[in-house]
Amino acid sequence: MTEAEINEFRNSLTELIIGAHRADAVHLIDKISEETGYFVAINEILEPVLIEIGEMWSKEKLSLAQGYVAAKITEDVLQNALQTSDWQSKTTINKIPVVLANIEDDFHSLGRKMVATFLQASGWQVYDLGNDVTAAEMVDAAVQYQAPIIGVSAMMYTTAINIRKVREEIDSRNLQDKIKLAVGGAIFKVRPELTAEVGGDGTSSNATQVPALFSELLLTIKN
Amino acid sequence: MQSIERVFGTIMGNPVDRTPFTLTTSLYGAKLTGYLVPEYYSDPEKYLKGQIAVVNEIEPDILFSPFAIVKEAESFGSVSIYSGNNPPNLKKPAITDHSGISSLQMPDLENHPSLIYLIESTRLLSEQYKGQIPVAAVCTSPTELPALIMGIEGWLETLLFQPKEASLIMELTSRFFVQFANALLTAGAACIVTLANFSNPTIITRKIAEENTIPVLKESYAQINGPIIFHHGGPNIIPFLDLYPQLPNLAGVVISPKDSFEETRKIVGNNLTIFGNINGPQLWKATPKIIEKWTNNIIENRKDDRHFIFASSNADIPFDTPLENLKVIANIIKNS
Repeated sequence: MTEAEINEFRNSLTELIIGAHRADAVHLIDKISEETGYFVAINEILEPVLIEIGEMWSKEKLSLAQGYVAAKITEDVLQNALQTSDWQSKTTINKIPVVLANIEDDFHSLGRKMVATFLQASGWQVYDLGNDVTAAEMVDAAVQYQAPIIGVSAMMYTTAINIRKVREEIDSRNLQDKIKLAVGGAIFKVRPELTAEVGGDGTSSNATQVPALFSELLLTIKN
Repeated sequence: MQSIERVFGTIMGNPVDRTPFTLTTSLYGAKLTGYLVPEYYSDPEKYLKGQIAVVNEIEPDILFSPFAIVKEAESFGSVSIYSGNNPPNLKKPAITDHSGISSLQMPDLENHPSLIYLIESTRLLSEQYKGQIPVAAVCTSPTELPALIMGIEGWLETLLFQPKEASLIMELTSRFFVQFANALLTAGAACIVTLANFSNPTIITRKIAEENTIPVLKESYAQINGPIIFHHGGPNIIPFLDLYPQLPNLAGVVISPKDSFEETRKIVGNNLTIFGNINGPQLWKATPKIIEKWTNNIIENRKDDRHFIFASSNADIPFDTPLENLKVIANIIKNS
């Protein structure tokens, strides 16, 4: 693909996502992948578009509905990609494991599921533990899967403060240099100071920007 | 002048003795009375006592029926959860995707305990302050209620990709909205405050608003036997605000702290009452000095606006908010 073609595809895909045209967007990536394979189509076209979408979303130029459409398109594309040998051969090695969960008493899974989709598209191995997960269960899973990052989601202040228990669990096992704690959810946008209050190592303003946050956190891990 | 005269005088644009004010202190009554939150949100007598305590301490010009919207969804089969000193929240939606929509039943207004609680609380409160303080009854918009019945994800998925099923559930929630809102008015509420997060630009696109939600709101609002105050619940409404003034029975809009009064007035015209816009959920951590400044700025900004009611915006005022912080607002306004 020439640079002009790449730009044209990216612009088209951005428009399709913003317009909530799920099927057309997936079809566009499928068409591109026929020539380039899914690995290139996802890395060169979809991922840069998701970064742009994330920036627009963080500036409140896009709605939750459009962010959701972006996640569904990514999910559909990944499903198609997983069936190809091109994607499998290029992505099965060196995947970094991460653990995701909603904190105990929290049942708002939308954000977490979107984050899982965007992380998978960026090549992370996601272990999604679901809703209402205790701190001990999360840290146990991170140890079991050798995950250097735990991503915890909460929607309300009352459940978000339970994330402190994850911080305490990590610290009490002396894992603070090996496991980083990423936090997120609607309440962290309303109360940015909450990240520090619950002992989070970082947060992201929306789901599409989580892969970048995790890459940054990974750099802070001490082996 | 009684609060009810002050509030309706303002809505009609007549001269009043001072700016009316209200704070979203539904939950706060539990703090003032010491009731446990779950008992407060299940016993109408306790809710009434909580609101009497609110009146004794703050004397707002408008009171609210219980701001516990998940209780409406309970009547469709959703399950709620109490956590800390907060109103009930959604734990498990009645259904999780569009395939369950056809199995939903219209709730029985007269026999479901959650609805009995909401209606009876409204009745007791309205009787208590009849002819003195108007009660605004909180009622979830028919375009918002599906998010509490099928979860935000289920509702977004349906709204975006299953238009037939989206219409089907909104048909049901519209019927419920009309019956429930009118029951609250019959119980004595002076007006309905509709919560409609799925109307603001942080949640949906303009296209969805124009094609999917506004037509439903228009049709259902037209069947309500009283004035409606529109509460979008989000960080801002300005980009979509031009869509709402034409809704039937609309008497006012609540704007958020991020919305500009000037822009709002320009868009909605001179006759609609604007409610706002001190940040309710942030009052717990601000100092009285800062709250005094916020309040004075708003009062100064709206001093010539005959259709303005000072109100807290966004969600309910948190339980942990010091009473002193609320009294600062009340004192400034009562002395203005």
